[in-house]
Amino acid sequence: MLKVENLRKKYHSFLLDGISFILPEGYILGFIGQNGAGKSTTIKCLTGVNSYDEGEISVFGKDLRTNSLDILQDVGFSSGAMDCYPNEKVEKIGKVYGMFFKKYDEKRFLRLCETFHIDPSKKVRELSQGMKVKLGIALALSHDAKLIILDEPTSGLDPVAREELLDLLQKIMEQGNRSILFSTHVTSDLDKCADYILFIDDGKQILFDTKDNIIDGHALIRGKKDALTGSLKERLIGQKITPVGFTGLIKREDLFDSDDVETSVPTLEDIMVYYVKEEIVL
Amino acid sequence: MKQLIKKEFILGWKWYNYLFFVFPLMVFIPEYPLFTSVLYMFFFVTTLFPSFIANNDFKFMSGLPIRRKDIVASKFFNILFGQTGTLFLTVVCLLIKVFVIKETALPLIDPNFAFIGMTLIEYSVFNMIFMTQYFKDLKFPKSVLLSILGFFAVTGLLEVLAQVVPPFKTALDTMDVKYIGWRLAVLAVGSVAYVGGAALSFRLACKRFYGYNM
Repeated sequence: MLKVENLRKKYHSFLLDGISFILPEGYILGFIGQNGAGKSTTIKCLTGVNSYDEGEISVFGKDLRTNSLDILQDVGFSSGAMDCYPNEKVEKIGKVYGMFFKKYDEKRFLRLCETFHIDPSKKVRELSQGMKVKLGIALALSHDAKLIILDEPTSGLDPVAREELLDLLQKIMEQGNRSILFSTHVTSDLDKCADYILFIDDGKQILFDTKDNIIDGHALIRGKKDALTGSLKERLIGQKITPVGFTGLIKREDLFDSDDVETSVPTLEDIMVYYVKEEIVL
Repeated sequence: MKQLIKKEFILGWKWYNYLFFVFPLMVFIPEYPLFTSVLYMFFFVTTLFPSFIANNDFKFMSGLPIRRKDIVASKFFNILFGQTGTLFLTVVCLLIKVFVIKETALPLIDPNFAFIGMTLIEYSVFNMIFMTQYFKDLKFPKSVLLSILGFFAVTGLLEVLAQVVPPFKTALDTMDVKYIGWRLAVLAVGSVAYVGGAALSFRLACKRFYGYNM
């Protein structure tokens, strides 16, 4: 459904370099990285908002550069809270948005508003932050999009609204034939729903694989300070050293039976933190 | 493109924007200096564009299946609509003033073809500066300030030409039929400058906007 090869984009002093991944039909891709890592820059390239310098982006088997108008008809994009035209009513925003999509279905949009408890007769500014996020998603889903791209949809949401949103994404996937690319810097959002993970930092791709492969391929290790030998230290991706011991992240393949450490399964957050901060001394 | 223009009217244009089309009625004020009627279009630009910014209009358009050149065209359309609309209504009011009220001698330029031609040249200069500056970085205050300065510079120059420089003053600031050829020539130059300038402004604005990262 979405294939990106060696995407490169220079933006002032920031360089997005060598981003490559695929998102097959029917899966959710969690796109993670800390603030400023290049997630939004990548997404703006994927949605045709900004151009890119090098690389190939193929959506539904078509090249984005030459078929962007066709492709975007089947892409639903939402970037955080829908805070545009705050003095207009939700129903009017939906009507105007729908003018641009051949498959826009007003009934579907109103049904989505009902599902999300959004009153279409309310003005955008009267909605809470969480409701505005949901409105953005309702718009993105109103034209039967096959690829849904959500840029930081959980940002600014309270835990309950976040949970609702994640449940909603699961429901969307149950309808079939859809894929979701979901960027966030809150990795716990993805523990439940992501199938694939793309992790970038400072414009460079760090990891791309299925979530299970990424988690299974790493181990969180813990040991006493004297167990952190030179050989082990070299194999660690990142470590946190305390006065009494250390914890660190290591690739499973780099972990030997002779290493005198306790191991546990890392979370996505552990993986992200240790890749970004290679050494933390407390 | 059609949808984008429709969107501009549904979401961008407010009731008070249409009120600016009433301003040409001011030419019925006795001894009204026509020079000021050229300025009506500033009301459209200085209310519409800040409103687009305040309403996160570019965010609304991100992800829509539209081309960048269509965005430029739809924004430019607002300006052209404001300019041609007010100029047209001003000309209608002037026809009444000249042929019904019979007031033809006005301060500065008289209500003739040269006035329309000069107005089109002034608009063209404004468009050229505003469009190329605004779509370079979407910074409205700087773009509008530069274009207003350019606009006043060329307006001042043309008025001086029509009021001070003898052959032009004799031929342009008058209703005398003897010099109608001169005034029609100014109208022709103005029309070409406006249409050609609009096409060139649009092309340059598109080129600059393609290089801008939103």
